[in-house]
Amino acid sequence: MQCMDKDIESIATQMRKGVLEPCVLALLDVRPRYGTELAKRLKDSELIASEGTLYPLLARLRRQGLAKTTWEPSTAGPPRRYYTLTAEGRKRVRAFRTVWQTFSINVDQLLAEEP
Amino acid sequence: MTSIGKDRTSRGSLIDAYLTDLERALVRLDVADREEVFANIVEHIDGQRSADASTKSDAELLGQLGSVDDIARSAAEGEVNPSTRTFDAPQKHNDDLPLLIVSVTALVLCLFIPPVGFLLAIGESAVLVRSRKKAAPSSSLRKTAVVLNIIGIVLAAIMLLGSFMTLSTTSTEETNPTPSTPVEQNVPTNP
Repeated sequence: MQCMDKDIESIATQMRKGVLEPCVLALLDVRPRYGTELAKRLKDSELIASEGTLYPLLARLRRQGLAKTTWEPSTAGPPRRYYTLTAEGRKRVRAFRTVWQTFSINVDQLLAEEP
Repeated sequence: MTSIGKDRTSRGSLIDAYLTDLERALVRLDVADREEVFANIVEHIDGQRSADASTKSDAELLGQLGSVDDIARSAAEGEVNPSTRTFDAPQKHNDDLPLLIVSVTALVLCLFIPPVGFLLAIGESAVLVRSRKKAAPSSSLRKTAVVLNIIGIVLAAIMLLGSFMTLSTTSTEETNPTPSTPVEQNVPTNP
C-alpha cells in the first residue's frame, strides 16, 4: 500500500511539472494576480506542494516575456507585484488549450479501453 | 557570497535564518534571477505577515512557503545557465565529433587529392547547413568543422584552378608551338 502511495505521488509530481506553467498562464489569462493569490489558488488545486516553489516560475515567465509585472497598492499591507499576461503569454495559453483538449480526450479514451 | 535583496531589515530570527538559507540555496542562479526570486519570497512573507498577523505564526508561514531547497530546485529546473545545466549538453558536443573528423579528412584530401577533398568538403557543408536547426547552437566542434570545410574548399579550388591553368597552357603550347627565339650572337665588332 505504501509502495502504491509512492507511485501515485511520483506520477502526480511528474504530471504537475508538465502542467504547472500553462495553468499559471491560464489563471493570469482570466485577470492579473499577485504572487500569494496565485500560490494559494494553485495549492488549493494541489498543483504545487509549497507556495515558495511558484516564485521561480513567475520570474521565468517574466524573463521569457510571457508575463509582465506592475505594482499595485494594497489595503492589507505593502504594495503587491501583480502579474499580467503579455500577448505572447496569451498566445501560449491558446496553444496549450488546443493541445490539452485533444491530449486529454485521447488519454481518457485510452484509459477507458477494456482488457 | 554577495548579499542580495535590498531590504534586509530584521523580521525575527526564524525568518532571518530562512532568508539567509534561501540566499545560500539560490547561489547557483545568476544574479538577476536570484534577486527576483529572493525579492518575491520577501514580498510574500511581508504580505502574509501583514494580512495574517494575528492568526499565523512565522513557523506556520515558512512551513507553507516550503523548504529553501525546494525553491532552489524549482529555480534550477527552468535555468539554462551552464553552471546549473547538467543534462544533455556534453552529448550534443559528442554528436558533432564525427563532423569534425570528416572535415579534417576533407582538408587533408584537399591537399593531396583536391577533387575528392573538394567534393567531400562540399558534401559535408551541405549536411551542416541542412542540420543547422537541429544542432546545439553553441557547439564549438561544429563551428570548427565549418571553418575547416571553408579552408578545404578554398584550398581545393585554388589547386584545381592551378592544375587547369597549367594543363591549358601546356595544351596551347602543344598545338601552337612558338618558334624559339633566336639566340643573340655576340658578333665582335671591328673597331
